[in-house]
Amino acid sequence: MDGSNRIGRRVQPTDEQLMEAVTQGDVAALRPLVERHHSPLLGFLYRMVGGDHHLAEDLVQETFLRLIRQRTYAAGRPFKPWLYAIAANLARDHFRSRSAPPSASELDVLRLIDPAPGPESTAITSDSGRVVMSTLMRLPHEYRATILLRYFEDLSLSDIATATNVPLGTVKSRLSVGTRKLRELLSNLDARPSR
Amino acid sequence: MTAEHDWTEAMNDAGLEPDELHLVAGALSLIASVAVPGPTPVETASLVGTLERELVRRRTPRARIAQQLIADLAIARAQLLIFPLDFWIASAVVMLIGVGLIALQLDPSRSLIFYLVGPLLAYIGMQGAFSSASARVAELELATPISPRRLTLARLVVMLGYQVAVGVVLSLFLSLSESGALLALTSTWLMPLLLASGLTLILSVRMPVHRAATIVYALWMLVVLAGWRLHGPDIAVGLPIEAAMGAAGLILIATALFLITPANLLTRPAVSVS
Repeated sequence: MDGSNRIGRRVQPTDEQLMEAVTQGDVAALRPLVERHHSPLLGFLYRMVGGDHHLAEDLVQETFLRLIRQRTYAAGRPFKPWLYAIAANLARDHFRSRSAPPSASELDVLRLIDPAPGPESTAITSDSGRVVMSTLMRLPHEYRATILLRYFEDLSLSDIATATNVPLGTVKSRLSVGTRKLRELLSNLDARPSR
Repeated sequence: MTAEHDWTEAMNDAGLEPDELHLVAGALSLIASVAVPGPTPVETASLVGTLERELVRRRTPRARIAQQLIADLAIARAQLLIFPLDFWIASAVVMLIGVGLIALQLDPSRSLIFYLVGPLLAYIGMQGAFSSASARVAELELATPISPRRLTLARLVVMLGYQVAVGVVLSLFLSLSESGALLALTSTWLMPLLLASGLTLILSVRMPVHRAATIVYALWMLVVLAGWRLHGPDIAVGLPIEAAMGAAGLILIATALFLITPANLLTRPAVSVS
């Protein structure tokens, strides 16, 4: 009993402490850091790349590799914004290096969608999920990253400003414009099947 | 993955109008309802494995150097026990006498004194480092898997470190009291010390260290005395030649480190049993 209480009270190292240890070559610090962030980071990148699971996995691995390879981590620097900054930059670079813009495939998907809603209209089928993801991809990268970081990853505006390396005012503006644009895009999507 | 999100604060950050909130919440719910595949424990473990290998690969050179340095320091510290008390006292006394003679101006030339003191320090140091310990230490060394090169280096570091430290401190006092240049003063004893150490070490590849040290110091004395006889008491050769002596000494030490074998290096009893 005592033992379990003691374990329960054990203070977990922060992300920053773990990252500092990793920077100093501590292999043991890697596992808890990855275990904490693997799933949410995969979710973020999955949405950032429009639902391409394999690409998201590749980018997750590349993000963590960058963490290790870049020797720029300063002690005490907030870890999560830095992690997501690397991830968002990698996603952007991926699409920059691609010859075909992502919007081409999303339009194809929109054309393929069955206009008749199924009986379980509230459930998101894989097709409709893909459409939502594709619609999300129609947002410019900066807006998409800002929206996902704020609404789904719970990063504060100042954290996002740090992560995306832009002034706080720009983040506010991107969030405001991006949210309205997203609502517009997704409301069109909602309206489409009923027509 | 459709976790219950509270987007109120974030929507406030976006500066939305009250009538927009419901619509935006609906749009966000649509995104949240899309199943996001989570990683399996196997995938996470695989990722951790990849990253660990990368981290080990990247940290190896630096960590290896750091570990090597720590190990070498530990060896050098262990070597302190091998040096007999005579070495510590004799080195300091010889240097003190040399500096004292110069300070009291009882000598005909400071170069003569220091040219004799430097190699004498090498003689004492090499004896202390390599040939005056007991047979028990030799047994210990035989059972210790440390390369002779590292062992030699560790002892040279201890020997030269101590002698140079004592010499520099005393030279500093001398330079302050006599307003002499510290560099020139130090060079007068340090460079011959390095040369004599190098010569002794290279000869010790072929003969016992105590014999090599004796031969080198005897030859050195002959050269110095010959110089005294030919040129008078001031036999200073100048900083460039002294620097060349020091460089030659370092080259000889480096060469000896490559040639040295456990048989050359192992501490021998001071008195032969044969």
